[in-house]
Amino acid sequence: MLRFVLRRLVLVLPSLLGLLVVTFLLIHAVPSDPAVAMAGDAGTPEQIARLRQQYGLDRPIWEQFFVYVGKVATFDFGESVFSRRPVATDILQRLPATLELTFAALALSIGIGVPLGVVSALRHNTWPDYLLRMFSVMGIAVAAFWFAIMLQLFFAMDLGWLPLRGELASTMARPPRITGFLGLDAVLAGRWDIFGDHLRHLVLPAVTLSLGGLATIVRFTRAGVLDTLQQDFVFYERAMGYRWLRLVWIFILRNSVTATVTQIGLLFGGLIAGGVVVESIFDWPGIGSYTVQAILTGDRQVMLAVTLLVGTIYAAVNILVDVAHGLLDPRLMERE
Amino acid sequence: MNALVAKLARDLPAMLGLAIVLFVLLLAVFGPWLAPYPGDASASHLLRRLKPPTADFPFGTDNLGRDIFSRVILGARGALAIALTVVGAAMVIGVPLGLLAGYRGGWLSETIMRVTDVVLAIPQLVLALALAQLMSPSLESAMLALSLTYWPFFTRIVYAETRRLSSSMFVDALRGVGAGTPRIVFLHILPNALSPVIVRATIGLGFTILVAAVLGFLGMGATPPAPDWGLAIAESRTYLPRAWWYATFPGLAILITVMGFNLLGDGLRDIVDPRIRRSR
Amino acid sequence: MIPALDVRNLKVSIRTDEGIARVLDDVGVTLERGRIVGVVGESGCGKSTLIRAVMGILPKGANVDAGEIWFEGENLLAFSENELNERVRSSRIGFIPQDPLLALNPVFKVGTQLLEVMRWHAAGSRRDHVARLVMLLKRMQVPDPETALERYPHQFSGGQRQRLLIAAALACAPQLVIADEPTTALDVTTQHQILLLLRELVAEFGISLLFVTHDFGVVAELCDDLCVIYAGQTVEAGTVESILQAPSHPYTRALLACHPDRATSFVGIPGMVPSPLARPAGCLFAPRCGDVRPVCREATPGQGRARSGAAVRCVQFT
Repeated sequence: MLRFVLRRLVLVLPSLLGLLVVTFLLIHAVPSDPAVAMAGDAGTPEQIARLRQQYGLDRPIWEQFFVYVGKVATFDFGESVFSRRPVATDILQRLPATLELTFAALALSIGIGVPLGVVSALRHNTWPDYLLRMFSVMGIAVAAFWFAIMLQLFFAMDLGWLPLRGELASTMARPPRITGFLGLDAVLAGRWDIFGDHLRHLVLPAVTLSLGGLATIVRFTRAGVLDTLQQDFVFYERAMGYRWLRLVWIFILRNSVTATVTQIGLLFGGLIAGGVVVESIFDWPGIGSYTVQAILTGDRQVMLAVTLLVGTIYAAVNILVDVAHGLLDPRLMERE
Repeated sequence: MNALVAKLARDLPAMLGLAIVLFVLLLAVFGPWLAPYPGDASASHLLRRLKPPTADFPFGTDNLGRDIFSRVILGARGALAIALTVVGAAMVIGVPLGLLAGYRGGWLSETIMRVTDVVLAIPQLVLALALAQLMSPSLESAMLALSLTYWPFFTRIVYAETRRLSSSMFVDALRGVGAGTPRIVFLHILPNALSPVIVRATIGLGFTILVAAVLGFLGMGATPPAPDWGLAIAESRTYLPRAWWYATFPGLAILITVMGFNLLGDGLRDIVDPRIRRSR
Repeated sequence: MIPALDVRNLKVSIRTDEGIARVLDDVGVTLERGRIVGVVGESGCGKSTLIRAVMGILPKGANVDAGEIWFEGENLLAFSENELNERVRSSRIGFIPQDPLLALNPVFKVGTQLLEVMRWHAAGSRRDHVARLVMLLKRMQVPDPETALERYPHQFSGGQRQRLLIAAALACAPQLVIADEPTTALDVTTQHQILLLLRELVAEFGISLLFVTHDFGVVAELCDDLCVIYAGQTVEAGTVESILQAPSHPYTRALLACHPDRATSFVGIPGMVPSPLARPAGCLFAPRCGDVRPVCREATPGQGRARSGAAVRCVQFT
């Protein structure tokens, strides 16, 4: 198992290297002065001069690349022109909020999507199946930002059941920051009222974000289960008197979810991308809204750092997906 | 060929998708003649701003009094234009690269495929945003950015097909007969690789419309007073919840259009490659 | 003596896109206690459907049109799915499948799968179950029985897998075992070993065995009684000894004549099995029969008795 993971890590290194090269080139691809590019639209002459010195822009391009890599390795992503703080600090502070949202959406997508996919497969070609398939098709065609606005319109504005935006009601004080995860910090401080309010704020953004993934997971789980149902061991297990519920939810399911797991991995990229839009609409203080802010203010350091971060997370997720595949189907590990 | 067309015709969802796509195409081409208030692409009528849906204005009016029904119809042209341009450009970049990588092999092939991997390693939207920001935010740069993030999909497909075909018997036979490389590649390999490319392109059109709408929403794409669907939704936010029609209808337009392309693409995929188990 | 299993006049049809397929058209099999009956027929004759009918796992669109399956004084066809699952499968009727690789769930350990069966159908604690499985595996001569349960199906050889499955079939101590061509997927030497093993187990555990196969050689080696099926109908049934010595039904005779052990030249039976979608009137074998008479095409022949004592469905014996 360890060897399996190490191999994957080694294989992913060229991609990470490529990622560094690409982001590096993005700074230097712009015909204008890279220091100006890095400082962005709001850069002052002092900032530009400082950047020029920091990144050694008078030196040959090879050296500049190594300087760049060195900085990245020490998590020095420069300073945000907008917040005037190190980008790394900003990111670290905002990351938990994004992770909370992403995992909530993922939990919803998987928790609802997999059972629905199984049911759809078992009842295939009957009306519940048709309905679910139609829903799948619509789910990936929906523009997340529009869906978010519709949800806000309906649940927050018209019905008033759920809050419109933000992580927490403005009247509530934040609990002392221990982990950085608002929900966790609230629980640790014993403040269940804050936790509850935070949860209420989490609903609409998480539901919005989970929609596309939900549709995809239903679709792929359904296909996987249908495939598995054709196999001989299902007949054998029935002949041996396996209890139907256990047969479906334990023994058939594990065989059916390989494609779904792959999709979940790909989904992560979609969740991060979708998070950009959803966070900005719901004023969720995470990396997504940070990115949008950076776009609107022309804060290039932030954009590049975020791109690097996202690429790395994506690579990490892909490794996890491979590991999951190996756990699900022991035959894969043997082949290594 | 006829058998394939017949098979597609029996696929109800795919036919629905085709119908939607053709309808949108119709709107795109004949929009100005079909829309009841074609002038509302740019004119403003402040006296009738923010009116709810009525017989005269089936989708209501927006904050400048413009008929939303007309603007949704007119928006189809922009959406389709962006989609076709982006996917077209992505194909122009991606397909030849795939052919090159698949046929030649060696370090060139490796390099191309590594670059493909790296670009694919970054979620499309994030990369597009990063690129668009580096150039000045405008519709053109948004389209360029999107093309630059989409070409790897085509390269991967063409690369796989080319590799598969170039080691097949009939290519050996062609080489034996003395056919030159360009001839082999363009006349024989490319047509065979075309089917999955078309499937990917169809789905890509739908996807591009979605992403372009996001960019429009963020202000990185179309600029006012263009009847862009994403832009309309962005503009509508300040007038919610009162003017619910302002955000709803452009969004529905996006939903139906993208759904159409997805359904059609799925149907095409079924007839092109029945080997792959579909969730049918 | 009441037979262990008595299938009577079973008719099963399946609704397909091309029409109604009469897969079983009056099949009768009698398995006496403590004996081994071989059910022989070509592929497509309905053997699998017969097994499925007994186990109660018929495919979608299948319908039992007539007949009964008597097991311990009850008609299995009258059982609900729940009753079959709780009271019959594994606990009273064991099953040995055809292809040991495809029959086992590839992503779970062998032990997990076998213990799952015992959990619901065998008395005792989990430790008792493990002990019994290890004992059975030892008896089946599966190497390293203690660790075998921790391994995955793909880590065994074909012959070992089949022994595993035989152990699984016996795990809950059923009195009746149905084997669906369990040696077809194996090489000849392994096949012989498995057949020997089955013979010993039948005597040792006192079970009755229904053995479905297409191979007469296997029947000759293993079975006590024989039932020949053609196009969904039982055409001849009796003891192996009597039928092999003096086959009565033209189909049985033709089959035996083709068998590599007996055939002197490369012969086959001319013609093809009639499709279950379009069964001819009269005797189903008539189009290919060497002894055919005009009356054969008019009416289905009834059950007759041959001099050997076997029941035969042929007009020559009624």
